[in-house]
Amino acid sequence: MKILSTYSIKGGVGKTSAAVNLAYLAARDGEPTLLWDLDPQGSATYLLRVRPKVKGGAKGIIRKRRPLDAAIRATNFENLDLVPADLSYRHLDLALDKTKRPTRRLESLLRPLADEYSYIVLDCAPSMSLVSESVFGASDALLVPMIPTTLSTRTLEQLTEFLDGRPGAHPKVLTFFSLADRRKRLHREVMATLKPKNATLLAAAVPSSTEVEQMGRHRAPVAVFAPKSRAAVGYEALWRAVRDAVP
Amino acid sequence: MKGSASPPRNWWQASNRTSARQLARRLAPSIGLVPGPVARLERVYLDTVDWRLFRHGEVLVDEDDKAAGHSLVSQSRHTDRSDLVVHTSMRPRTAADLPGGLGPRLTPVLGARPLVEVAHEHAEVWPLRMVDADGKTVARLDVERVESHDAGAIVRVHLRSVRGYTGVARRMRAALDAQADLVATDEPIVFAGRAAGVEPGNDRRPAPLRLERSGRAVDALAAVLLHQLDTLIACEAGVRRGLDPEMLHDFRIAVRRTRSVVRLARSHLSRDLAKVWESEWDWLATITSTSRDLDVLLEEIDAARLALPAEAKRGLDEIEELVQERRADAQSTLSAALAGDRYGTLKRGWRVGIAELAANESEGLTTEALADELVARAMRQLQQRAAAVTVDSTADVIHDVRKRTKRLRYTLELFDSALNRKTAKTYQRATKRLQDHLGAFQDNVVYHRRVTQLLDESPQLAPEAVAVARQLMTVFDERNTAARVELPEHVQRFVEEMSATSHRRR
Repeated sequence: MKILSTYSIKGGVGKTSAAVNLAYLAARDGEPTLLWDLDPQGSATYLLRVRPKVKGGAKGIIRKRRPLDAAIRATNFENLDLVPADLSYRHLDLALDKTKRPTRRLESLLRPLADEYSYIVLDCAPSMSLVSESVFGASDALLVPMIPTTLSTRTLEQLTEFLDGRPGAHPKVLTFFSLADRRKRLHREVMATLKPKNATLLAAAVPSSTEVEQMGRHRAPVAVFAPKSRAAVGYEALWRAVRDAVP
Repeated sequence: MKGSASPPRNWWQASNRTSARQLARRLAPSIGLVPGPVARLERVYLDTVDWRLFRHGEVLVDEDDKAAGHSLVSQSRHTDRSDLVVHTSMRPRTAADLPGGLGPRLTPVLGARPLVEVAHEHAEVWPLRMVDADGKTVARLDVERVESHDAGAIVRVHLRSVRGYTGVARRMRAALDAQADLVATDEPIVFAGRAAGVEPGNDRRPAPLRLERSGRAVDALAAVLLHQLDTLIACEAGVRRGLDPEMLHDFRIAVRRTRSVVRLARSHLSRDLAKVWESEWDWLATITSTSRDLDVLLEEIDAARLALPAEAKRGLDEIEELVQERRADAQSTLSAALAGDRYGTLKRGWRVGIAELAANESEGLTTEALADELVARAMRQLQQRAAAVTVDSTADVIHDVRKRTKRLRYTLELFDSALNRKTAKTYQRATKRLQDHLGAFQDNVVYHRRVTQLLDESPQLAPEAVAVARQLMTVFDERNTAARVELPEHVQRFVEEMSATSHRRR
C-alpha cells in the first residue's frame, strides 16, 4: 500500500482536482484505491457525489471510537472508494492534539487497510498544522501542485525547509506544475527556470483548462467526461510519473 | 477486516415461469430502480484445485462481456469490500500472472498453486441501479438468466450492495424477500460448481490425523496407512487432469510416506500387506516420477530466464517447448495408468489389507512404543549410511542417504502426535535441514540427467538451443559441485546433533 497526499500550503492550486483524477486513474488501472477527503470543504466528496457526512465526526475517527473502515463509501467508479469529508474536520487538529502520538495517528488509522488497498490518496486542506504533520508521518509521497508563479516557488521552499527541519525520515516530495498556462510569459519563464533546478519536479504538468473547472458540473474526473482533453492527457502523464516515482 | 461468519443473503432464484426480462421490468418501478443496458457475459470461475480462494472467502471470476470486453473480478464472499475489477485480455494461470491489485490481494492465498477453471456459466444480465439525489449509485441489482454446464437455465436476482450503503441494501433485501416468485438461493459459484459436479470448498483431503499414544499399535498403523490412501485418492482427480503440479507433488508424498511406513513397520504387517503390494507401490512411485521431474525442470527453466542473457531467450524457448512436449507425453501415460486396472486393484486391495490389519489381534504394543520403535529404526538406518558420506561419494550413495532422510522425516511427521513433542520437533528441524542440503545436490543431478536425455533424444535441436542446454548443464554442475563440497560437513553435523539429542520416551 502506498499513501500519496496532495498537499500545499496555498489554496486553489489544484490539490483536489489532482487527488480525484490521480485516484481515479489508479483505480482504472485495476488498483484498489481509497481517497480520503481531509478538507472540511469537501470538494473531492462533492465531485464523487458522496454526501459529506461521517458518523462520529473527526473525533470519532481520530480517537478510534469508530473504525475508519465504517466510514468508507464506494464511489460510482470501479475500484475507487472514498472516506468523505465532514464539517467536523475543521477540528481535526484539536482531535489529533488529544492523542498520544498525533504525528503518527493517521498512519496508525490507515495501516489496517494495507491488505485492501494498493493506493490511499489523502486530499489535504491548505495549511501547515498538526494535521499536515500527521499527513507527513503517514505519506510515502507528497504530491505538491505548483502554479508556475514566483509566489508558488517561495511556498515550495517553505515546505522543503519545514520538512528538512523535522526529525526522522520524511516523505518523498514530488512537485508538478498545475494550472499551467503556456500563453502567459511568466508561466513559461518560471517553468523554464525551475525545471533544471528542481530535482523533485516531475516532467508531467497539468494545464490550465476549462475541463478541470467542468469537473464540478460533471461531478466526475476529467478522463470520464473529456478523455481526450489536454487536462486528461496531463493527468494521465502525471499519474504515470507518480506511479514510477513511488514504485 | 474479515467479516462475520454468516453473510447476508444476496441471491434469489425466480420461479420457472418468470422470465428475466419480465422480472427486471417489474422490479425497476416497484423498488425505484434505473435500468442499464443488457449485457451478455461468459463467466469462468477460477480457483485452485483445492479451492484455496473460496475457502479463504474470495471468488475470482473471469468475465467476458461481448460489448464491454474482458475483465477479472475479485469478490469477497464474507465482507462488504468493494469488488476489484481489472480489465485485461489475459486469463491468469498462476499468482504471478495476476494484473493490477489482484496480485497483492490473492498471491498470499494462492501460493504456488495454479489457477484453474472450476466452473463456468453464460449469463444475460439486466442491470438495475438505485440512484440518490446526487446521482450516486447506492445499490445495484442484477437480474440474470443463467445457464451453467448442463443444468438448464435459471433466472437469478443478485443484490450487489454498495459499500457504505448497508441501510439501502437492507431495505432492498426486504423488498426482494417480499416478492412471491423469488426464493433465496446459493451464491453463483456454488450454483455453477454444483452444476459442474463439484462441491466448492471441498478439497476432499482428509483432516490431519491425531494418534492416541496409549492406543493399540496396529490401529495406529492402520489409521496412518488409511490416511495416506485417502490423501492419495483426494489428489487423484487433480493429477489425472494434470492441472496442478502441486497436486502431483502431494500425491507422490502420500505414495512415499506409505512406502516408508511399510518398510519400517514390516514386522508388524501381514506378509501380504508388506510383500504383495510393495512392488505395486514401487510401480506407482515410478510412473509419477517423470512428470514430477519435468515439472521441477520447467520451474528451473523459468528461473533461468532471469539469469541467462537476453540473446539466450530463443534457445531457452525451444528447450522449454521440448520439455513441455515431454511433460504432456508423461501426463498422458500417467493419466492412462491412473485410469487403469492395476491402480484400481492396488487401491482396493490395499484398503482391504488395512482393514484386516486393524482386525488383527493386538500384540500388546502401544502407539507410543511403535512410534519410538519406527523412529529409532529410521534413525539407525540413516546414521549408518550418513557416516559413509564423503566429498567423493557417488551420486547413488548420496541419493540413498537422501531417501533414508526422507523416510525418517515422514515417520516423524506421521507419528508426530504419539512422540515426545520436544524431541520430535528437534529431530524434524534437523532432518529438514539435512534434506534441504541433500536436495541441493540431488536435484541438480536430476536436472542434469533430464537435460542430457533431451539432448540425446533431440538431434534436430537448433544450435542456439543446444548452447543454452549446455549452459544450463554447466549451472547445474556448478551448483552440484558446491553442494557436494559442503555435504559431508552438513551430514556430520546432523549425526552429532542426533547423538546429542537422544530420543527419549515421554
